[in-house]
Amino acid sequence: MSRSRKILRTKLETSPTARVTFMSSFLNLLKEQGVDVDDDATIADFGLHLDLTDGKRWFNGSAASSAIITITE
Amino acid sequence: MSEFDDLREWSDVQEKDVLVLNTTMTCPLSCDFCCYGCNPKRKEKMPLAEALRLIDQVAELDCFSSIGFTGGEPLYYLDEFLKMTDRAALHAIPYTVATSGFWGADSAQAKITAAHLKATGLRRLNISCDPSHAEFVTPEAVSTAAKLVAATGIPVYIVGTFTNPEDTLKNFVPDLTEVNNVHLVDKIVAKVGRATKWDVNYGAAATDKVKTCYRRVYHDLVVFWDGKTYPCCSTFNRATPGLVVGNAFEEGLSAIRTRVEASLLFRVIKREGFPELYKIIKRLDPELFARMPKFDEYPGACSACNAIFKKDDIAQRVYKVFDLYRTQEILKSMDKVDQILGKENAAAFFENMLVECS
Ligand code: SF4
Ligand code: SF4
Repeated sequence: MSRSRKILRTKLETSPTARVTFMSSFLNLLKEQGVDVDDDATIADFGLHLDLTDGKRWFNGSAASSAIITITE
Repeated sequence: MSEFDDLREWSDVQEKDVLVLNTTMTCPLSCDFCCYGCNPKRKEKMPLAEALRLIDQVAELDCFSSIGFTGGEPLYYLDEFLKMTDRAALHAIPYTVATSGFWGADSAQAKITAAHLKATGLRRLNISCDPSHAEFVTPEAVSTAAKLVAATGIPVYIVGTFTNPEDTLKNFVPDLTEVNNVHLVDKIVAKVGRATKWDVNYGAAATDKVKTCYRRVYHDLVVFWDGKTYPCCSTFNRATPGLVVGNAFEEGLSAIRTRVEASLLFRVIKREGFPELYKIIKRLDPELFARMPKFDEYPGACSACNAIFKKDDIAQRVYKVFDLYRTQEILKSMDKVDQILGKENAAAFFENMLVECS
């Protein structure tokens, strides 16, 4: 295991801020390594609910922001 | 019809994040089912400088596509509302407004208001109209406001909230049924705020219930007059203290937004829904699972969410479980990165990530 990976792992285990950063940087950094982050199946393999999070299909179903509607149930 | 078809009709625009400013609890009305208990005597109001600062922040952030103004009655303090919408226009940020349409009672002033809304980038006007609102604002005033705005080409949604699924706006405001750009949407009262103890018939909604947040991607970040910020515009937000995601008067919108987006709890309830949330909690904290309000006992995702997150001890423990869950999932994803990217690319990935996280 590389040194960076080890340090990163410890940071992630101990720091909530690092976990937030990890989540928000994950896709961009994968992209930098040549991963097609627009492909549902590819990103699903990485876990983290990414298939459900960032897949294009969600945009079709819920394009509308329903800001300020009455959600009542 | 799928469970979200009724939400899709709300816009033909691909919205990203929306900043919703709940600028005041003051309202000329006192509807019997008001979720926030608003009335003319309530004085809470967002300081104008804070509202303008938030609008400026939206302009700086790529993830936001519009602003929503709500309340109380966002047009009650008209001068300030005009300044806020002028500021949105300055940045070319479109906005939506939820109003009671009380300003339609004075048709000369309503004409001026409609022209301002059009000129400053109103994208959609939502007007509440039903028997409860009609105690204070006549359907004629609503009709005037709706027609003036619709005539400028802006879509107007009339929202009727009823206690019975058989009551409809078609019957309540028949003269608005055939007006160009005016759409009628019927809803059922939420058992929250003044209507907490009401006997409400949810009809088909009770069997075909929604299990997820109403937005599956992106967020409606709602900032109230006191800066408290919520992850959604659900009627239940303010009654659910455990949903507070920060205070936008004390920290930047960007930081709050990043936290919400990075939360596996929100990811799970937005995409997979409450059954998955319960499954995760049952696995990681069976004792908490046993104490939690049960999803089956509530008519939908938001009322169940309210039941879970309004109790501080349960809310904090759910957050704790999901922080543990996130840590476990992150560590698993690191192994996946190793496997999928191969040694060299994975090493570069971890190095870059370490820089980001330092
Ligand atoms: S118009 Fe809206 S904010 Fe005002 S009292 Fe009625 S429900 Fe509440
Ligand atoms: S389920 Fe909870 S977080 Fe999601 S929209 Fe409803 S109240 Fe908001």
